[in-house]
Amino acid sequence: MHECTLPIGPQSPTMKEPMCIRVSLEGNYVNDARIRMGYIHKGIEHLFENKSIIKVLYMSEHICGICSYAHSACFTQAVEKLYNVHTPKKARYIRTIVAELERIHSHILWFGFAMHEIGYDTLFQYGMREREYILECFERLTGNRVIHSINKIGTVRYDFKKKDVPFVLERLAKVEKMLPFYLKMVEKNKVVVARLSNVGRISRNMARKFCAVGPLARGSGIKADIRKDRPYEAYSEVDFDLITDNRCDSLARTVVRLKEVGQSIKIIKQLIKRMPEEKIPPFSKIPPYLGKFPEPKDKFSYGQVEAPRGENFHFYKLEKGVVKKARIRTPTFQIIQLLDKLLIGVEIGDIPVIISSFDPCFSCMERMIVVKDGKKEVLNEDGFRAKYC
Amino acid sequence: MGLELSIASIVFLLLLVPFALVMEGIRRKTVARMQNRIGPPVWQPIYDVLKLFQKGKTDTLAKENPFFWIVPILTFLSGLAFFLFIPFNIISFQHDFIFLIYLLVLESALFVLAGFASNNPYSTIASMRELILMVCYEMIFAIVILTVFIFEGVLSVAQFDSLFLFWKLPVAFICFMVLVAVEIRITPYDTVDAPTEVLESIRNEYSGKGLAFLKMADALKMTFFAAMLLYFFIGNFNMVAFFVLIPVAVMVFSFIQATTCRYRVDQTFKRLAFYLILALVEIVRIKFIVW
Repeated sequence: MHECTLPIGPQSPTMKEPMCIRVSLEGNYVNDARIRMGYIHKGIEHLFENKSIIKVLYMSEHICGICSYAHSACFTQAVEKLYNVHTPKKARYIRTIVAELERIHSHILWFGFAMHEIGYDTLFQYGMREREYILECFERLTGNRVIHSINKIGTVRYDFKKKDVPFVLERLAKVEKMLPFYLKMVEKNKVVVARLSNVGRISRNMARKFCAVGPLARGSGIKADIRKDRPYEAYSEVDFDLITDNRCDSLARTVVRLKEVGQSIKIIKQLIKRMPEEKIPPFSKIPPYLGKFPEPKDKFSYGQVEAPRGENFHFYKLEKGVVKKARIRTPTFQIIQLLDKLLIGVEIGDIPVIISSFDPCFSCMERMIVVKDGKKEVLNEDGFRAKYC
Repeated sequence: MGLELSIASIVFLLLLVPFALVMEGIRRKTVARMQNRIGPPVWQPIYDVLKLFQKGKTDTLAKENPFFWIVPILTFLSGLAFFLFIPFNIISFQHDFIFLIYLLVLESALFVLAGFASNNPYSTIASMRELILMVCYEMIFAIVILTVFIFEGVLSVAQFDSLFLFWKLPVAFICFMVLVAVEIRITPYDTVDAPTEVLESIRNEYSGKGLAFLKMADALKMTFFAAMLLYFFIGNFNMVAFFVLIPVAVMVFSFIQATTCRYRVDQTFKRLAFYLILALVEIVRIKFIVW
């Protein structure tokens, strides 16, 4: 068989965001895969520098379109830890509700796209319908559909009104009603099982070796979830299960994500039931608002949040209410190293399935461009270490 | 061999292409309604084709290859040639069903050639996939047609008049339904046309008139298979009822398309091999067991 190179991306129906994978083919099978990034590098870590906390809070939401809340939550967590800001119970509850709604939204959107990759456009459209219900909830609770801007340091922007409760519960019931149907479709439909099972296998050891996070790790049977490991906001007060699956393939990841939607709905219902009756303060007394605040000894702080795609980690150096240095590690940045290794040896038809099972978010991921002698190089963590450390 | 033209058949031939495009529109509309969408109007494919005829050609390296522009026209013409046999028997001669089998192979072969001529890696992959599948599905088609004609004991498509044959040849009917899914490239057997794997399949480099001809050829093929399914397995009892039933058959295909997802090419091949064996079993069965 002759060999040829196939460029997948940067504009391709396989990926919703720009990334190029150059695949060497031998017949119908992949010989070698090379990932090329850098199409949507924003340099956001540099943009954060020398900006006040308030500006960075709203900028951090623009790192990603789908998990916008998770990034601002990470930043708020870092600032609140550093300045010992007390957050009222109700504000914490509202934040948790928004975080879980975002998880449902992300997973259902992903489910639709994953089904679209294997040609099940009907489930894709159904997924879009369910996602719309969640977006309506966002619109009611936060005023915005995508960039929610709900977080403030030590508080939240909008109170949770009692008249919104029936609306949110009704929309959640609609999503919950469809979940068993989707699970049945994924686990029982012969064609779906034929396409997903034993495709893109990540063994438990491999997942540990590459520090996989989120549904990818949980699909390989690793119990990794920041909500359970280091509970933040209101997660220590609610009851939910950590979903894992030992099948280690694309099917396992799909099932994990769908079951997590059910757990998220469970969490939101508990929180709405226990929502305390108190007033949310309009703002909190920290440096940007009140200049004479004592500066803490330690200037470094971090935030750690379970975003829909996995662990989201922000590390900051703050001085006098100004961000001096920022480092952001998004879940996709962590798991993308696995991608080219999984693609070797698969059939062309499996490439979209494997890529979609990662749920990659390239706009989050692209962190680093090395410019040297006028040549642009985009590196991941491994490559950077090998070359420059 | 005779050329039998009536007023009805001339009107049919004149309106054939718009009719086929409306059938394509019905398919898209049905799929859209099943997917909780409104969908395009049923005459949208006609608009598309008219618009494509006004468009110019894009500049590709492939246009140096003469096959690149000739093949779409030939594909379209072979698509038109199907309708000389069904539902009006405009041409009929002894053993014309063998000619029909050859016409279908020709149409598929031209489709493959269009992909190889367009000098695009994705189109080449699509053509390779079609070639792999052709090995199986053209044989299934030949065997099913032979089964029907041997069972009926006729020598020409024109002599064929039997009602509800799907009841007497159930396995052949199932094989034929699978074959239709492969031929008109709908899920679960649309590996050749998978947009997430091979983008626009063989049409990647085509634009303007070439693309319009390919689109019309696809619509004609789908309509032809709906007509053939009715002609052989339901029966040609009344011309008006026949033309009412064609959209119904198209809707059945749309239903299959909307409720399944796609197999990988190796999985498709394995399943087609299974249906090939089934078709062989059926042709042996009608020799011994008949009900």
